Amino acid sequence: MKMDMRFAHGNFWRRASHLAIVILLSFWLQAQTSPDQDLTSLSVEELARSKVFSASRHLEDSREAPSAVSIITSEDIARYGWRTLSEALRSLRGFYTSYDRNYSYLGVRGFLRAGDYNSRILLLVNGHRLNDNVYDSAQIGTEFPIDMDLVDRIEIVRGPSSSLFGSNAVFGVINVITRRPKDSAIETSADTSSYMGRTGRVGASFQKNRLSGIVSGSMYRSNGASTLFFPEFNAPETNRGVAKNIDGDRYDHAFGDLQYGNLRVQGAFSTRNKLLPTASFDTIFNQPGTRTTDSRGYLDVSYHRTLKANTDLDVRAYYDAYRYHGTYVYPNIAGSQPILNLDDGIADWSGVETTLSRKIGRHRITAGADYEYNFRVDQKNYDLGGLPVVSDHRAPWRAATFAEGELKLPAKLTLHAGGRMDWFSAYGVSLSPRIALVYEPSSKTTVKYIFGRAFRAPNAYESYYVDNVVIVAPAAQLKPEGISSHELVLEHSFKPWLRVTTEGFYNNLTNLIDQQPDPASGLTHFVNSGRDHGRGVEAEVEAKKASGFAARASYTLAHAEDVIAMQRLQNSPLHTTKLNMTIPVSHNAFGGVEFLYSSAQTSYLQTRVPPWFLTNVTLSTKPLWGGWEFSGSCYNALDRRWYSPAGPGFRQASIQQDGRAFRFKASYRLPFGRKQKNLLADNTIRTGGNAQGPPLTAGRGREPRP
Amino acid sequence: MRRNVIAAVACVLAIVSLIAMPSSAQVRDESAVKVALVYNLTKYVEWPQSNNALVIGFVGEGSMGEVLQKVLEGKSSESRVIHVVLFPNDEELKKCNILYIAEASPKKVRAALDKARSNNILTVGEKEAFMHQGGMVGLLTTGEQVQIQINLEAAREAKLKISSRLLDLAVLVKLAPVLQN
Repeated sequence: MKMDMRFAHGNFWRRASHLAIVILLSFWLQAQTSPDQDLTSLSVEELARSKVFSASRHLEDSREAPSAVSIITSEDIARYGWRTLSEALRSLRGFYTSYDRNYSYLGVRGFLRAGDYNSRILLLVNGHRLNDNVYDSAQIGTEFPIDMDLVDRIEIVRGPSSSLFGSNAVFGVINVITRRPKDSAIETSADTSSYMGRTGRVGASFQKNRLSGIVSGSMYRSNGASTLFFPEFNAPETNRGVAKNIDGDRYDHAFGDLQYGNLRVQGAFSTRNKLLPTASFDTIFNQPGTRTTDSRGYLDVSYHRTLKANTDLDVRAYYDAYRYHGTYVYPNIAGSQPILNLDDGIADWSGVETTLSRKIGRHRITAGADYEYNFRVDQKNYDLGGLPVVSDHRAPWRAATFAEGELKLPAKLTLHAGGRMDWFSAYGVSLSPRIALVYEPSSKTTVKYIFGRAFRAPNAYESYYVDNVVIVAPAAQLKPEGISSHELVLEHSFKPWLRVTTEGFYNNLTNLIDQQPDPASGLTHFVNSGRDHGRGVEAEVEAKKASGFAARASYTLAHAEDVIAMQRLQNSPLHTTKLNMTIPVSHNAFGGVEFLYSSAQTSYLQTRVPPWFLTNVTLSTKPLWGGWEFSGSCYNALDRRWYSPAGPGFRQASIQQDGRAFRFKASYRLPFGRKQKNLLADNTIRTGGNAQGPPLTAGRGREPRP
Repeated sequence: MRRNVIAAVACVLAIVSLIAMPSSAQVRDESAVKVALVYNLTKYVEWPQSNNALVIGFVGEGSMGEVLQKVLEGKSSESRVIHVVLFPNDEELKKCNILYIAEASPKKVRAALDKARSNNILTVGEKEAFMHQGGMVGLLTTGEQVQIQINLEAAREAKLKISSRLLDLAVLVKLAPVLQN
């Protein structure tokens, strides 16, 4: 009831203005140039020199996909000045993020469970799973191991996708696809930003006959906000709530991707170090030394082969490593020196995946299997110089098999039906079916109905982190969490460059794993107890014009509720609205404007976190004077004060976010070598579909539509 | 109240940016450029038999056929009148001078190319695979430009002569002996 009241009494003006902008846009766009413009008076030389643009390719790619799909391109990233994956994702309909001055968290359609490190989102890089095997965390802030400069596009599939991808694909799958080398070049970029932020990147790409590759290395350093005020600590003994110079952030990245014919080897290594100014987990306030380090690396070898005309085989083998190391500074009651508490999560794992895809007439069948073994999943906690409080060693494995069929039915219907069976050495079997019905009454309209079940297996932290100080062992073996979801999507292209999507969804989550008081010990433990459901509607207008103008406006109403407590979920805004616009200001320069609005949320401590409205402005150029590109961004341009809800372990209910900030970035690209001009050389790109990882839009292990 | 002000500012900003936006003539629609290139082909290709009509056939997917018809139907090129025939049957195909093949599946491309062979038809396609299969002129979108690729051998086999002005602009393609992956 409370929710309805707020909706009715909400700020009508503000919502109306968002709507007005969308309508205005649509009208104005109608007046633009069209594909049937007559250019026959131009000479053939002029035509060959013309820069061209195709809106339909971008907007129609995902139409046939059996899910609600969004695509973020490298162009979007440059035009809107997005520095992290998290900034790119929060521009999408139904997505919102929060930041507790350590990690970034992603909320989807009203669900962002406090104390969880995005374990209900599956994050992939070129089809390689990035969630770690200790906390299942999907790292999307500065801890994300890939540079945004290397991203070619990001495919976002909403809804449960465990039927293809297994655990963690509860609310969606995010596949980050890195750039393929187009030619041989050396590239370098540098930026400088507020809070003494600076980034440098050096990379090279090369292509020769069937061999191509890209390598890149970069570093980022930021001092962070020099002073941060936390009213919860406003007392004389805690420096009046002011944390000074302990918000630093830094990362080092290395990435390599090599392709020879159908064989591809890629690897990434990243380490990121963050100072924590929030005195979380009862550490000493305004005391330097509390920090976390997350290192993530992988090596992935994949091979694609067309066995027969209609049969494709994909094989992948990988080795992954994750290291988390936390240092927490605690007061020492007995002595003068503070106590250093050290927390470690260490995992090394390796696995193989194989996918076979076969086209039979107009139908297609995809089937596959994978196996993964953990050499170790270790957790440790100890005071420096003391005995271990937590010392746990595990070596679990998992295996899975899956199949999906795409059946072209009469009456313009396509049925996607599939399922996956996962075996976990620790938890047994999980089944994830999915059915999607896609109806295309005309080439402009698509209707999709999707039903899916997905799961998240309990992670090592929830199952085995037992310190007997705060957490005791689970009373019973934890079971996987489940989600079942229904979605109805209606997409219509009013013009080849103008698409409107509306969507309704219902999510039902069961067996949610929560940290709860344990009556037996008086401490806490993890238990399968929670039950949530969420429902809502979304609408989005997307336009892309030949002139370079592009816009995306969306609104989401998401009502997510704890079924047992009968109340709205924490960290769950009822309304989110976004508007992103790229406006060409000259032939080579673009203005990118981003407006993001989120209504009020309730924090973990049950306080109200005020709504926020963010305006980000970026001015960027195309390559000038043979390879220079510049961009200048102003984030939170109106300098609005805004807060993110904090999770468990914080005395603060919400954490203040950055005010107005700037970034200036320059990059230079120097091509070398001759441009390849014969087909044989270009041939290596031909299998590019696979080279870019399994295209989510088309289903797993399948080449995208040419 | 402050929020209202910001919303209003956002609104005004949006309107101003819409009005102030210059229309850039440099970037052109891909389909429009391709259609104009097809028109240019009629000028720079010589067919063995000359008629006073020039017939362009279209097979395949997408909106390209409609755009071809809208822009080129009835237009004249070197004193010949252009007719565009969408999805020509075998009879109509024999009258075609140009066949634009926008098929996605290699099987269909092959079928269309087979039909066009032996009829002195200039085949035009959009994909690299089309060139692999023996298509004559490829209009390939590479990055931000449309690249013209020409398979001279295939054109010669069909007894078509291509002007050097066009060849100068194009990337010449030879069929490689083994291209199966």
